[in-house]
Amino acid sequence: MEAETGRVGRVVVASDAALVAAALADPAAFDAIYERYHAQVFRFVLARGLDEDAAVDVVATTFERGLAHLRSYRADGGGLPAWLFRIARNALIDERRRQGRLTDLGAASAYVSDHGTLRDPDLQVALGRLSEEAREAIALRYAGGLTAAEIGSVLGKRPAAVQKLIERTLEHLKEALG
Amino acid sequence: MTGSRETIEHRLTRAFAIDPSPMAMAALDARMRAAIARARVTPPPPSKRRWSFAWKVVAGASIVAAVLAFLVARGQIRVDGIDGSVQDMPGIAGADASPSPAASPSISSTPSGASLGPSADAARGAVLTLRLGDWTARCVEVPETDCRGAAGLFINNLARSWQSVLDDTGGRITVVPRPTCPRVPDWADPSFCWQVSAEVPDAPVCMVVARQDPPRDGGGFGQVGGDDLTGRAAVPSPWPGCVANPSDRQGGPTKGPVPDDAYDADGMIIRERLPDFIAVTTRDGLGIAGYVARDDMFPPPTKKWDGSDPPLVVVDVSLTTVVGHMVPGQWFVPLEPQPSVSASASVPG
Repeated sequence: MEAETGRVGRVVVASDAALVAAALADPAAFDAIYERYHAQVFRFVLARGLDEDAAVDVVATTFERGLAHLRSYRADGGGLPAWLFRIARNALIDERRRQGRLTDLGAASAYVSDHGTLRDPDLQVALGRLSEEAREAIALRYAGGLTAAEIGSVLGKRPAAVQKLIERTLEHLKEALG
Repeated sequence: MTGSRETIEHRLTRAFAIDPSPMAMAALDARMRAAIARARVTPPPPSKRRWSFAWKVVAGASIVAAVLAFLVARGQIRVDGIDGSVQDMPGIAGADASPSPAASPSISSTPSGASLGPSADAARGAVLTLRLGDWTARCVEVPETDCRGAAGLFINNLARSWQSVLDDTGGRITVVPRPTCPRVPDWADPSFCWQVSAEVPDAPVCMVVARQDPPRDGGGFGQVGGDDLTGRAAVPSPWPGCVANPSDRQGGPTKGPVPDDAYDADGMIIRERLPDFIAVTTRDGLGIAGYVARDDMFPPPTKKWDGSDPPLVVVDVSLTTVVGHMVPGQWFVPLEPQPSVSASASVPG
């Protein structure tokens, strides 16, 4: 059973379950959930190839939907981060659909820094050659910071399968980047 | 784990360590603040734990109403739906919509369905019954807070007809949603209205009510239309009337924000539940910039992408006048600064 609070140094940190309970009692407390996860979600959305303005919209939509549907949240579905990333993933799909981009846009424009410069062009090219599924798993792992179990919950896969997918992808990248 | 694996993982971590710009963060924070503020205005369904608090609120409201009634009776406050202080802004009343003096409502509510949850019940088509003093409001698919505000305003604005309508109807009024608003004054939110009516022998007494935009503290409702009996001084022209089937689209497209029930549990859009035109906010998320055709914003899955990423046409509340565009990377851009962009809105079929 999840503890109500944990201690990091001298700071008492509320568990996700406590944050959800507080936000259900008073929507103002949802701010703490937003503060805890918005940076991870933002990085994931940017990593999936959106420009910053579109990313703002997708991240805002993610947390707005989370706030509106907090009552439907169930902790047994991979926890709060997996739930939020599922919403983010769907908001991303909506955004692409809105833009008419039914094809993948992740490959070409992914991994652009906040100032529009490529952080790692070689890596970008190598990532662009991966399958959509592999790119998404990598983005969830290294931009979103999710565990294999959480990624499995987002993508509807078993954690072991996710772990294998990531390991295989890392091997591909290692070979591609020499 | 190999050394090169560590290198790849390290490179990935570094590549993805993308921090949003301060401007993006400010925009995001503003959206969240607005969302949380909206969520706080619409209360969650009451639970057992909240009953004691709710009773305190009801008791407090009763005391305030009683004091107001006393002051009115002594002539210190004038409440008159025709010549009152709201003459310059017809029909405005707060969310507590201080009813006519004799109403002095101690407000209570009784669900006709299984629960009292306002938004959820509204989505399911529930009927909620509210007691407002001598009056009973039957709220059909209307959340409790909206119903209380709209019904309270109706009772207040009956003014000199108040007693006769009460006698003729036994104090029974009905509040129903009217998804298609008539043309409303500048102070009103055009995205959603309500129709409040009471059945008197000759004909229904009816008002069209909208929410004030921006909302006052705790909400705010105003009359934007109605029949002759509920007409007011300084009525704007034209003064829209009530309609027989307010829930119908009346032949026109619907408009409004993306409703809460348009998402499934994973936040996926259910396209069929979207209005024909979707309200888009200003960049700070606090105001409505206009409306974008649903098929532009969420194209049907069957629509093929031609490779372009054009600005989305934004129209005003009439849905016929283009006011600007949602431009990728710029958000809402009013029409004037960008005259070269095509100005044609597609109306969903």
